[in-house]
Amino acid sequence: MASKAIKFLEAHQSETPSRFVEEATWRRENASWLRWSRQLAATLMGYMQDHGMKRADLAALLGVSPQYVSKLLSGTENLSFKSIANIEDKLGITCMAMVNA
Amino acid sequence: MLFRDWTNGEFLFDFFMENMEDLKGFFHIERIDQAVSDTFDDAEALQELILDFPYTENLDELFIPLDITDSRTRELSREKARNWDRDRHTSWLRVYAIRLEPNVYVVTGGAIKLTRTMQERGHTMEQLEKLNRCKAYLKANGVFDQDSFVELTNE
Repeated sequence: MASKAIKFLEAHQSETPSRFVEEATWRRENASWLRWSRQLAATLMGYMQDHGMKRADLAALLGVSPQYVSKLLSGTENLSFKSIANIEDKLGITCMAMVNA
Repeated sequence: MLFRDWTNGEFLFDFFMENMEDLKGFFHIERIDQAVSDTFDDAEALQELILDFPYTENLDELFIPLDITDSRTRELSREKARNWDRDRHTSWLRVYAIRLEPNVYVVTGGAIKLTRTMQERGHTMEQLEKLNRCKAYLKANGVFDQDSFVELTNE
């Protein structure tokens, strides 16, 4: 039999169900490539910090829109090798390092 | 929503830029890329813990009382959960909840806590106020036994 607390919670639950499990499961299933995207985002943030740059500065340097920089910094963008190589060439940095097992 | 922020590099970048002095002062971390990478790792670890947790039976092992006044009785106590196994430095991610009864919690929110107490910064103070408002609401609605209530004092 449900306790008073459980009954209270059931009576007051939100009409909009939580999406945590759905979103967390997506992140878990995509964890492998998300790690690369997050590593790239963190590397760009370090570069911005070292050079005292804002998003607009980075966008100008890369020749892309500020919106695209936002995507890069989000750590959730699935980029192509070509796009990553372009960033590395323009900034003179390595975003993705191959590690031998 | 919490985990959406904690896994969003843009949000984290803005947050740590705004709170860089706390990061340096309390955690001795000066690199934004390290702070963001550590947060990504912590959020993932905490997310895995929550996803895998047998929450109907063992939630009491995930949360700990917020302060001494909450540990005297764990009824309607304010609790926090974090990734307890972090290397290098303690995790700054917090999930806050009110404990109604064994293994029954109401999650009120969470924060990136870089300071010793919640009162020191606006974004954590806001979470403390949410905890207290939620507790007051539950109390007003008689969700728990008033006789065993322990009044809050400041953390």
